Amino acid sequence: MSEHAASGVATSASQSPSNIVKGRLFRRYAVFFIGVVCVSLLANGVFGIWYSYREHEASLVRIQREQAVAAAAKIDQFIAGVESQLGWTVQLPWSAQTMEQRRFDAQRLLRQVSAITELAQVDADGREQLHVSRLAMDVMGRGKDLSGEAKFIEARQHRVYYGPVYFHRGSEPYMTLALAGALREAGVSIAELNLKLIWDVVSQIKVGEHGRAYVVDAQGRLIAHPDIGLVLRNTDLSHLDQVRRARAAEGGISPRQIHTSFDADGQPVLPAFAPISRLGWQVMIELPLEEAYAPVYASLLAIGLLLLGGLVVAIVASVVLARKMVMPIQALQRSAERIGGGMLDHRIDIASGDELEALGNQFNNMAGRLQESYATLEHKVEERTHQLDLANQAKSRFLAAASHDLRQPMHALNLYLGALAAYDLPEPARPVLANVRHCAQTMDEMFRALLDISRLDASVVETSIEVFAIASLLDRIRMEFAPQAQAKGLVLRVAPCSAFVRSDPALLGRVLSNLVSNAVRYTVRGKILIGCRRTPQGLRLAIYDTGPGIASDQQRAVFEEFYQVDNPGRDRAQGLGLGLAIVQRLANLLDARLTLRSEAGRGSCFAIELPVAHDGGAAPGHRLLAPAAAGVDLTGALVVVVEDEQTILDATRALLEQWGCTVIAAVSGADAIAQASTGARVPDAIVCDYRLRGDEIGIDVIAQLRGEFNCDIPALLITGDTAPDRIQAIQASGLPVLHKPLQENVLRKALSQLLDTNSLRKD
Amino acid sequence: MKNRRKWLIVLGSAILLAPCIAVAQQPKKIYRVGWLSVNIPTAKSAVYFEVFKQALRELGYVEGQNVIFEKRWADGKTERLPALAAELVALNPHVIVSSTTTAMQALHQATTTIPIVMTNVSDPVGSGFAASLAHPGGNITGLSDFGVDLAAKKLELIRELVPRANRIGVLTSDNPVHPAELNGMRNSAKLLGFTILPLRAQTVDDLDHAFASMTKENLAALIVLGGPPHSSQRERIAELAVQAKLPTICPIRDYVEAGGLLSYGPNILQQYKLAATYADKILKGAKPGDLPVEQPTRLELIINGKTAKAIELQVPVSLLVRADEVIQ
Repeated sequence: MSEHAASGVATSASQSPSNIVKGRLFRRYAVFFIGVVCVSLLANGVFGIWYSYREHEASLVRIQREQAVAAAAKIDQFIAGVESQLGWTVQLPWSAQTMEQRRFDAQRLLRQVSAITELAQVDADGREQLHVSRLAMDVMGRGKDLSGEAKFIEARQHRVYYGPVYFHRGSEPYMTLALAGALREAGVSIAELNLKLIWDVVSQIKVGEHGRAYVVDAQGRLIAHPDIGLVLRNTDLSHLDQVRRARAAEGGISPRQIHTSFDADGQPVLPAFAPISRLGWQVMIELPLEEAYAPVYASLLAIGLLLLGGLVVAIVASVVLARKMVMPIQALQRSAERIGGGMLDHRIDIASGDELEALGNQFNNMAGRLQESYATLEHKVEERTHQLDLANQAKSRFLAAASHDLRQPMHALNLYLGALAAYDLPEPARPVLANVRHCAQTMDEMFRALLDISRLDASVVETSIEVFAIASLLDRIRMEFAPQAQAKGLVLRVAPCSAFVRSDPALLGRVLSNLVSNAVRYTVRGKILIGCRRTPQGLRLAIYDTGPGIASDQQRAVFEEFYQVDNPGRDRAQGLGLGLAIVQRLANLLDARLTLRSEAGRGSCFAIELPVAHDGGAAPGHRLLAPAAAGVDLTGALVVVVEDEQTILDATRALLEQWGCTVIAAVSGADAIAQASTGARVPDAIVCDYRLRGDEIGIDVIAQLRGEFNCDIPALLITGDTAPDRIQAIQASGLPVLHKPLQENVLRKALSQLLDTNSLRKD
Repeated sequence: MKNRRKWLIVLGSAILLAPCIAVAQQPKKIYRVGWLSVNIPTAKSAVYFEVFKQALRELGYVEGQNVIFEKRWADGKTERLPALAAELVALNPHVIVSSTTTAMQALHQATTTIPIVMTNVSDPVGSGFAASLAHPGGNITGLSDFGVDLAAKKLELIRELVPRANRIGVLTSDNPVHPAELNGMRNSAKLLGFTILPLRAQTVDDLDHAFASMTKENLAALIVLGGPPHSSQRERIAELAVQAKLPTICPIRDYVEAGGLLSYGPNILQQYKLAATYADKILKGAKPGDLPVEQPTRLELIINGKTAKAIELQVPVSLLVRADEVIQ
């Protein structure tokens, strides 16, 4: 139980710091693991993202470039196709064909090549001989001189001439294509091409989902675009950055580096370009950046999600790992805390199979050792305590024996003094006798006090709780102490009280008489007041005096044995200092609270709180000791005295004979029976010592005597024993008992009572 | 422990749900497309609308789902066009598609705000529909045909067909474009030494009168000017021409299919397909004024062999080889 409490205290005391430590360790591990895993994951993820980003960008540029080149090749092929078709018309010299044949061929060419809207055929001299059109009337032999025009001269020089792009009616793009035959005589064919037809080529080039290919001429004007409207609007794109760069580019092909730009609508695009070197045009490829980078973003998202997932897994794993690592440590710590808190039988249970488990086992070993040494220590303490108990018992036995042995002569002394006082002593001897009797009385009180303490310590004092009127007890106290108080010139007042209390009247009487006796003894002048007052707890009975008072630092000490205020010299005339110790023990026995209120020089107030009996009316009458029947005449009474100690036997006989009794004095039971049975009378009373010679005890002697006379002869025991077991045995017999040393008047009183009741019974 | 799990669940569901939230559906917009035709909604005329509708469908417009068509047919009665145009405009469609100068004039009168896509308009600039081909500027854009430009080429075709021809009839009407076309004919005819005889025919009855007078004039060939009302009278014209054994030069393929001898002009179906791309751009927010007017890239020569046989005409090989199609 005490171990539990101790460990509980220890635990609660060390709770908060240990928690902080726990948290820190777990956090540190978790943060470390998460950090390591996250950094590596993040590094990996970032590298992957960067790498795939670069890879994608490079492939984007490559694809764009390839598309641009392919588109340029297609358009080039388209023009080349027209050119080769046109080639038919300049194979033969003019002389080889009639005009009608040429016209027929020209019309077939127009039928075949829909891009050609007009075809003019010029002879070797630069005169137009034939003009065939889809819209206008065919003209033959007009002879218009074209020899000075660029298309003719250029065609003659370079075999082929590509004219600048022009816009028919400001809307549709056209171009002049002139072709010279291998033979000079074949002349030159000049075709007008409707470039809208390139739309077919351009619109078939798929650049991603929303990307496009378009063609600009050398001036940056739009020639072909999937949105034909832009072309028909005669759009100039030379201001676009990518068009500018395309026109300026070395070799005309877009570089391999990534370069973003904006399209005509201002949207960000990834451009690429390739030249149609034959014509000086540029094929532009534009892919919206959003679309170009969509796969990158998708893969970024995928990588990001994977990374996130990885991080979550890593964090969970880290936390689990950290917990797994920290938990045995925590268990270790908790167990160490318990063992440290005193639970030495606690054992650590870690089955991690590693160093921690080993550490736990070490701890267990340590706890085992501790427990062993602790048990040894406890055993020793027990042993010592036992020894102390034995010593204490020995002391008690010694005290009891000593007081018994001291009492024997004291007892005899009292009896002799009583006998002596009965004699008519000469005048000078009387004060001496009085002094001797006073000394004997003091000694007697001391012995009585010692005996009381012995009895209380032996727990043999039994309480007999009953309900009684406090007034009667207070009356007796007043009557007992009034003479002494008066002798010292003190006023003793008892306030009237009608309360009934529930207590032991005899023991309470001892308490009060002790307290009042103290008050009378220490108070030099003034008065002593005894009063009672009802309190919520019961009845508070208080004794006030105007004595010297007790300093607050001594108020506790006065209740200790052998302590006397203002008696450092230990003047034994003032008693042994056991009075308050006895009062304290009696109060405890009665469950009454004893309090002391005092100040040095201001008097004292001892108070005792008693339980009140509310059914006071039903209280039985006085069962206090009947007033001492001091006046009973003992003359003629036959008293058997059994006492193994000869001096005491003689003293007792002397005293009793003084009182007029006939005494049969015997040293043992057998002796008593022998002497008593010789007489004809049944003894009136038996006064018997408890401890007799041999193993004989007074109880048995009384029983034998009563048996002999077959009569319940009144008897009383006298004993000097204070040993608790003896006292208990005496009480068990139910016989009245008087303790040595005995005052002669006490014996007389007891005898009177014994005979009185006996005579009453006889009546 | 518990808290941590909750947090993970929230995170996980956020990752999983994010794409679903992004795909939240938007309510579909329903477009209203007006259609104004001069013609009778006969099988042939309906083909144009079907071509247009199919082209739109390929661009993502499905009738009844995100597009509603408001169709108005004048049944060949040009006088009804203004009322039908007003009717369409009152419906406030997102775009109106129409063809021919006649119908466009009615629409041009009815609105200057609702976008209009035109087809088969000879001279959008000259008719006042567009400021220029490259930048129309107004609410009208679309496709022109070469109309007037082809006048000379048609005369040339006649000369090849009937080398000794000198008197050429031109069937005109009240169509606003016809005077300009006739003028073009006249100018080109001078070069070839032809005499042009204009014959006005607005109604079917007019046709009979016209053809009756033609026989007296000893005409070598007849050029039929396109657009309303002739487009809806093409069978009758072909029939009368065959009766008169007169070669007809028609504006578009439809006339040849109806029995005309030959046509030289743009492919009309192609024009309607392109009209759908214009409508698409406009529905997507483009301003019609910014969309350049497109001219036909290809001109096709269609010859009806049966008609040639019927009028006992030998079509020269030089023409036959140039023909894009010879209907037998």
